[in-house]
Amino acid sequence: MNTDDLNRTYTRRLSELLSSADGAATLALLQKLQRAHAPEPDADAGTDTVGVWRRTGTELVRDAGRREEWRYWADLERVPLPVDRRRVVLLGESAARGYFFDPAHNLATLLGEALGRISGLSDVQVVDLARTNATHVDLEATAHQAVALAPDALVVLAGNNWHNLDLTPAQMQLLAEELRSGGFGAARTLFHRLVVEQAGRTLDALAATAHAAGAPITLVVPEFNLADWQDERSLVCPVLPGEDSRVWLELRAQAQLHLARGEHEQGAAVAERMRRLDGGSSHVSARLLADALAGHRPAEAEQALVTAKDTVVSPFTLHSPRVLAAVQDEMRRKADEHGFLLVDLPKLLRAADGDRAPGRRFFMDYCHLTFEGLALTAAAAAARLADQLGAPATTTEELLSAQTRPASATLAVAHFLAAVHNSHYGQPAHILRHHLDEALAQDPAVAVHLENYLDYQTRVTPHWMCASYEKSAQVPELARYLVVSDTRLTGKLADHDLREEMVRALESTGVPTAKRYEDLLVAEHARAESDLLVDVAQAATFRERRGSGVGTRTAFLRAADLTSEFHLVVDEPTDTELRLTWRLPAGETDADTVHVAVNGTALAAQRLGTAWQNTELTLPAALLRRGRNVITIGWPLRAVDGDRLVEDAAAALERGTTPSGFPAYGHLFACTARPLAATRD
Amino acid sequence: MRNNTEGPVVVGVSAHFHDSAVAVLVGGELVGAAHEERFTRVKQDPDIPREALRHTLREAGLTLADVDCVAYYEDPVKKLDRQLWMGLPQVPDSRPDALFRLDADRPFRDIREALGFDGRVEIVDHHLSHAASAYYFSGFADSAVLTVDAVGEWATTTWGRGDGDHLELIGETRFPHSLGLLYSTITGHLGFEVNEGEYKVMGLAPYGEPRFADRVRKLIDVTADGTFELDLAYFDFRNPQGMGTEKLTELLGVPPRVPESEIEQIHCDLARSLQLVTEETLLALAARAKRLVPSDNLCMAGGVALNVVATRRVVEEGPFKNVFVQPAAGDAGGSLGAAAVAHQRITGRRITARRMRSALLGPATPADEVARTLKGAGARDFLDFRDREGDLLAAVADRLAAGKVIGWYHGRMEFGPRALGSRSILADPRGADMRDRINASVKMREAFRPFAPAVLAEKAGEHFRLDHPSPFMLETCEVTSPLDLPAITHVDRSARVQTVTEEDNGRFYRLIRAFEERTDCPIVLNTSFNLRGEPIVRTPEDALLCFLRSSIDCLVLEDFVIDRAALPTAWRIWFEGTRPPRTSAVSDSVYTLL
Repeated sequence: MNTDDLNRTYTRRLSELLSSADGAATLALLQKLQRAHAPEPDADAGTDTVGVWRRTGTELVRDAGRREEWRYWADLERVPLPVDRRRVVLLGESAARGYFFDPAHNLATLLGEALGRISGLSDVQVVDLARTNATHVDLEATAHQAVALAPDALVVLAGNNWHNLDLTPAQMQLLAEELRSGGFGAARTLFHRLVVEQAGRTLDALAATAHAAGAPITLVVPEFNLADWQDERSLVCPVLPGEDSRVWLELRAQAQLHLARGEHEQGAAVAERMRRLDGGSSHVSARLLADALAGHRPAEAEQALVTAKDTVVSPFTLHSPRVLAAVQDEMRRKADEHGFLLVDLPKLLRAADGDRAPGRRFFMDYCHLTFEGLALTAAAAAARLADQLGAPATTTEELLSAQTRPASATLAVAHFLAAVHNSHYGQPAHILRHHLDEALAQDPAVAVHLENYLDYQTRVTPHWMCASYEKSAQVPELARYLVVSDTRLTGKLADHDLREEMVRALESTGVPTAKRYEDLLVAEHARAESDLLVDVAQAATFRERRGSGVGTRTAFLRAADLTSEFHLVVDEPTDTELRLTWRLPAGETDADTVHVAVNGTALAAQRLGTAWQNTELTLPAALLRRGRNVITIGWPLRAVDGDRLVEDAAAALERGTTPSGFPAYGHLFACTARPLAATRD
Repeated sequence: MRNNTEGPVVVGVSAHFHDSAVAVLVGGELVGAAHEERFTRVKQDPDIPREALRHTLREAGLTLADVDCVAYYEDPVKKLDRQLWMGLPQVPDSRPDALFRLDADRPFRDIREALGFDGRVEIVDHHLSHAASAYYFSGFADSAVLTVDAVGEWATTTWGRGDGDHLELIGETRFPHSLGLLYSTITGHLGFEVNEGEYKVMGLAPYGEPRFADRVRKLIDVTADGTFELDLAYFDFRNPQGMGTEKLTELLGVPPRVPESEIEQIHCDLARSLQLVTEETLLALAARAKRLVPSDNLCMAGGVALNVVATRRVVEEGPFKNVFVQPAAGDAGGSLGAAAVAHQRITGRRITARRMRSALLGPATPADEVARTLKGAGARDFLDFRDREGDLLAAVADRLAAGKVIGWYHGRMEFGPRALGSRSILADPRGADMRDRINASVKMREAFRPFAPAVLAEKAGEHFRLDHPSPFMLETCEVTSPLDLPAITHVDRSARVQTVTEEDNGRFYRLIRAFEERTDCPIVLNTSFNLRGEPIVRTPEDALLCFLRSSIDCLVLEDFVIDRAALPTAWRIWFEGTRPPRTSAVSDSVYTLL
């Protein structure tokens, strides 16, 4: 047998020995052992690209070849670069873009206005290079490109997206080890450390770039809507070792009961027990603790809110952007180290609002600022810049006092868009109501956009095809947010709570809407057969859409909590057949009882096992009503094999894929409803 | 949920290489099949086909609870063996593109975790899947079988025997000796996308002379008994920059063409030379098949079987009376074969012994859904022909006859690489500038690429040298028409014909007939409904976006006709001049061997 023949024998035997899951893990580990660190790619030096623009002699001209990216950047076809003006370059992310106000107002325009109010700075041009969704990689690249503009100063508002790390195989291996040794809580802690380390490197890189350009940096430390933001309900608790997941869920029910009864001390005690059990891996326990402490221990309650905000940040789930407290601290530390000027929003916002935890006064959602918040930030940054640019000292308050109020129509549209955005991140009805009422109070004419939304969001027709969307898209801020080509932001969702709040708000201001809306809903969605697993029937938020999120994408729906809701639209109520293909995930028992309810009334208790099962139930006409009906599946509270799930997640990390940290409580492959008359046909 | 059809429900799956797909058999009847890329809009999506599975089962009235078996289209252990060998002397191969790809457990894990299937899983060798996709769907009682592609696990070419219920592979050529990889290597050398641009090379070939044929023959040694070997000095299949070595360039005397650069005569000549050697080799392989299995029939599959020019020579010059080529001969079609083999293993019998007559196996969009979608656009000048098919066909045929380019969306989506009258762009084949116009401003692709004709089956013989049905556009033949058909006649007077019958093609047939009534031309130009770099459209919205982004004159969505002039201004502002996102998960510079 020659060498080649022997090689073939070796590889054949190896393939047989390494064909299992353990074999795949072995091969992946061997690959990682052999891999040298790849050299870092060279920076994008020497090109004439700046953001989505190309630099000509005297201006930036938007690159038609990057049209799909335009929506992330300032909506400017050309940016003049006059040689006789000083230049401040703004870098950052959507918070700096002035999400919901852009392009009418954004941080760059407000900063320019504030600088213009300072004696001797009227010549200063603010170049807006903030990019929605910018990560630390984007930020560093844009800063590097900005050097070509010969800036006199850089202003940076970023950090809310810095948890979007592109994990290396080595980092994933470290996370796998932490998972195995300490569960998701420990892995989350390690991840936060990685985020902070990366933040430090990014700030060092910005400092080096700024130094090379001879331009000082004004760094804005971002803040989060601590008082009014609640993370969505599908973010429950990552898998816990052993049978702790079941215990934790039982404690959650207890804590919620205590709080509902006003038993705050007992609620706090149970929340503390949950926290010990989840090892700091679930925001729910911290949030419950904050709720329990809010009335009588406000400082501790605020700290619990900070903890809840930070706890959500992990690679094992999707969540809204935010800045970690540890990253805020790192920004302050690096500002000292590199001599950055600092606009510390956490301090600034508290100082402006009686030391209260920041909430809806300054935030439209999780991290995007209200107009007041943007103006305050701009004024503070301008005040810091004044000295650097050789102008007389001024104060934030002085600059802010001269700030003009935006048009009511602009404020109204911004609050309307905020209502939409908040809804799609699972915010409660009272927050949606706040924004809708605010919108209508600012400008009753915004009602037409609410009506249009009810039309294009209710229709099966894609937004961009709807005449109603076309009408609203004439408003630049609206067209910027509900971007025509963005299937995420303009995808259809089951945001019935939002739409019904809109109907309520419109009716309360004298716009008759309810009947028209219900008729449209019925015309579009009452079918001879309704698939209740499509997004418009079951996903109220971006995160709830099937196929979104972290981890293995599945052909079936994974229930993220103990209850799942489905929205069935019917015309005239009639007996309706509900067909389900479902199963329970593997757990302590092979079978258990699942409960089905219609509009809050119990319908059936069904024994279900861990194998797929086709089930047919009848929804009696008496339980249905014209329009929207809610079908609720209550999944059983069962212990899952936490140790196995944690090990599976660690193994996935070793294979280079990021697992979901959250368990499923039920699986649904199909869920359809048919009026029985149609079924007989 | 499941209807009362006897026999097992088997789902065939191809995935993890390129162009993943599912096929569903119920009691040995093929009830549906679909490519994952059509749903995810990721060109050649290799991921486990979860959306295709959902939609295909739903279309068939089935759920996952009804499925008895999932058949996977290759053996992951044998594939791992080849991957490990390829990486030598490194064990394991640790280059960046190999990282985490040596995973023989992945098919089982994905079937269990992503598809949610915990039942019986059958593993079917890659080339057995190809062979079964041809033999079991051919309708032949017995047959020789030939499969030729780039690579599966180890085999790149196999010879097989189909006899009643049974199919076996009886010979093979193993990696790295591969006719498909030879073709792909020179495709890359010519500056075209590997695994996509092979069609372009075939289309370019008639513009050239085979003056490099002897040099190409140095790359492949075809023996007298019909096997072959590559001269491996000219190839480096591990190189992510390109699969040919410097020695290859020296031998050919043709520098690698920069992608998108001008195509010169030398490139045409190299393409012609490669095509000629491929045809010769395929004829030799077919002759060997005849010697091994002296049947009158030959079944073919594998990516090389989609080289319709070479296949035509096998049909015309080869030793078989009857040849069947699986229309989804590429890896997606492996899902069909894997399912058919699993059915045979479960029941001991072959699937229904009827020839596959239709590739319209994907989901449809009901006409009332289209109506509902268009209604949201408000009062527009869209033409509504519901319950008036005659008027619809008259309106469309009038436009075709007036030289309009039509986007045609009707019925169930095609399975396989060809648009066959469900998701098609149609035009009058007689227009002198039609080919250039569609290439340049509709499909936005290279000017030399030919288009195919769809012809009423009963009239095919009057216009083409073709004496048998060609329902899947899988054969080329000479254009003999008394009509001048420049848009579908290639430079060598050949055409890749689809024959259309009322029984199999319904409304599409009646449209061509309406066109013939106006023009005496029973032929339309038929090309796939997509832009360069995107999957064929699936939904009405996909079709509308393709319409808006191209210069198609008129869109037919089931019973509705939308003329460009009727498009809302806002739609045109938003989308004209834009391109679909070029999303692909597969390398186009080298063949994906991992």
